Amino acid sequence: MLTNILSISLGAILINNFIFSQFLGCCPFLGCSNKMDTAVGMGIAVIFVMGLASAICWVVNEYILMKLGLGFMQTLTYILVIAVLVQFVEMFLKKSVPSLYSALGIYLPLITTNCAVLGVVLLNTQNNYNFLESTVYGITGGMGFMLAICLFASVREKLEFADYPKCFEGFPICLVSAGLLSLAFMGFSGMKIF
Amino acid sequence: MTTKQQLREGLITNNPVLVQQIGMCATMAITTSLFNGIGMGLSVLIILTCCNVVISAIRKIIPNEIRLAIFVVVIAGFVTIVDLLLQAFVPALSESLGVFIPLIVVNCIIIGRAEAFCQHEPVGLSFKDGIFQGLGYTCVLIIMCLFREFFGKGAFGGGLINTVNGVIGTGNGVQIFPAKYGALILTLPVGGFMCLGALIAVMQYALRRSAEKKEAQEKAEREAADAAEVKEAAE
Amino acid sequence: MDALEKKKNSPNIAKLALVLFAVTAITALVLGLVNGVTKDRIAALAVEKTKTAYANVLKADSYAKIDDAYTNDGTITKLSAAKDASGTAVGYVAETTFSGAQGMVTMVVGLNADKACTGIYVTKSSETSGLGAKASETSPGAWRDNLVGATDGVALAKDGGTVEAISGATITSRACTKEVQTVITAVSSLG
Repeated sequence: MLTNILSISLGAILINNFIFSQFLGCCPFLGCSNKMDTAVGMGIAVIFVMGLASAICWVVNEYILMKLGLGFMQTLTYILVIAVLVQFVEMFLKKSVPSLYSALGIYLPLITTNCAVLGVVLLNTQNNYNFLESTVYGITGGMGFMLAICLFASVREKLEFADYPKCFEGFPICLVSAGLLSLAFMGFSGMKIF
Repeated sequence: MTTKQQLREGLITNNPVLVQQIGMCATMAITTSLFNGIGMGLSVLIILTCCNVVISAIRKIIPNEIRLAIFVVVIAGFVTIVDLLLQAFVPALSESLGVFIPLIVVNCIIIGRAEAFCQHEPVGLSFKDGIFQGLGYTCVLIIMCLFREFFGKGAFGGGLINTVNGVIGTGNGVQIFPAKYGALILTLPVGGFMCLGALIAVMQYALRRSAEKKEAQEKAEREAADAAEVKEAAE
Repeated sequence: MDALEKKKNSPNIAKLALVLFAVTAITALVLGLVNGVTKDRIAALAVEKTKTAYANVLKADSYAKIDDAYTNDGTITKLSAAKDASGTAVGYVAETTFSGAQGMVTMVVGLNADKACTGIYVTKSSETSGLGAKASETSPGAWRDNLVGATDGVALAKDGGTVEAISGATITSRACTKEVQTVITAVSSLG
């Protein structure tokens, strides 16, 4: 059991990183990573939302959708749960950590449309994970996302002083750099410790 | 806005992936075979058009505060319908696209068009907008698939040409040159990132060149008009 | 916009909730309709897929799930006994899920009555195209033919056995070969 959890965690963070291997969560990855502080804040928010969403959606799926044979309503239900959850996280942050709330700005409600959150919930269902495995996959998936976005933020801070062709300005040079990071992460593929 | 203008916008000047730079997750992830690309492109086109029409039709009765929630519900509805239909009638596509079909719900293109366009425009324009933006998206997917398949594996038309037993979605297409001479890295996630980056760079270059040319032309015309005025005044 | 602000600015929160509920209800109804139309076909396709996979590795007239205990390292999801029309056992078919180089691989393994492998059939994998994906190829002469006839103790040549790995895809080859061994061990433990 423990080795199963550990192998899921390692997979989510390094081997099948949500951004570099599975492409889930690219929009905030490219949009939020210009500064390290925003990246860290976004990463923490995403870990929290992904973990909670995995847990709640597993419960909803197991005890409501599956019991009533409403498997086809999964997508609709999950996205509604995530939207409500993000709304609550926003309210909570506004009251208790206003500095983080203002730092994240528009990007907080955008976590609703983050492919990684809906993606992790759908993958949990697809892989038939139990409650503990789903929650672990959600949290460690978020940790992988945070690792990717922080690494990329440090690369982007250096990119400001780089000399590249003018037509690559903006997203293209970011995508190429992200590609190189993805190449580095490929080194982890096939790794099997647990 | 005329149809021709809308078509030009959807395909080139306001292309969802290359110019608006949204909806990139799926573009990089699934463009490993032509079957995937065309399948995903057509699915998004259908979903986008249907959602545009419905949202435009009910735009007057949606309260402003909950408009995003309603958009999401409508989009999720259509995505599930397309997902179920694909699972029943084109299972090969459903399997190879995997989790990216339900993920069309959070594809920024659909929510973006609903928010920016359909809320304010009538049904007819929204319908055409859906079709043309969907076409623009499909074109980008096809270009990326062709590039990644050809230079990565030396193949063309994976899943569509040379299928196994005539079952669509199988087979590796026509092998134009032996696969071992291809840059395998292009079929991996790295290739996805780099291809898309290169495509957006090409588009930015083309748009900038065309804008510069237009500006130079206008400047020349203005100077010619000024010179003619001065000449007239001197006479 | 948090709930407190909502309450202050728009006293018609009941109307908002009603509209949202109405839209969701209509959507759910339409989905229910489409589901009713498609679910039989989807279920039939799933059964067909399993049947094709089983027949590809070991042709038989019926496959009966084995519920007795057997040695399982966690990768075998379903073990069935293959029987011919008269009910005599002709072999075994196992559905397995194990981790390959780029994620989980789902594979069907067939064994004949002498516990020798009759073939493998990869139903789901995300292995690298051109390398690990070669294990999924089913054309005659594909890599998987190397595993036909494998008996207890099968391993890659690199690991002391006789099976040649796919060049450039050792991890996938090793995982598939190891899985065949796992199934042989499981069936042997049935006694």
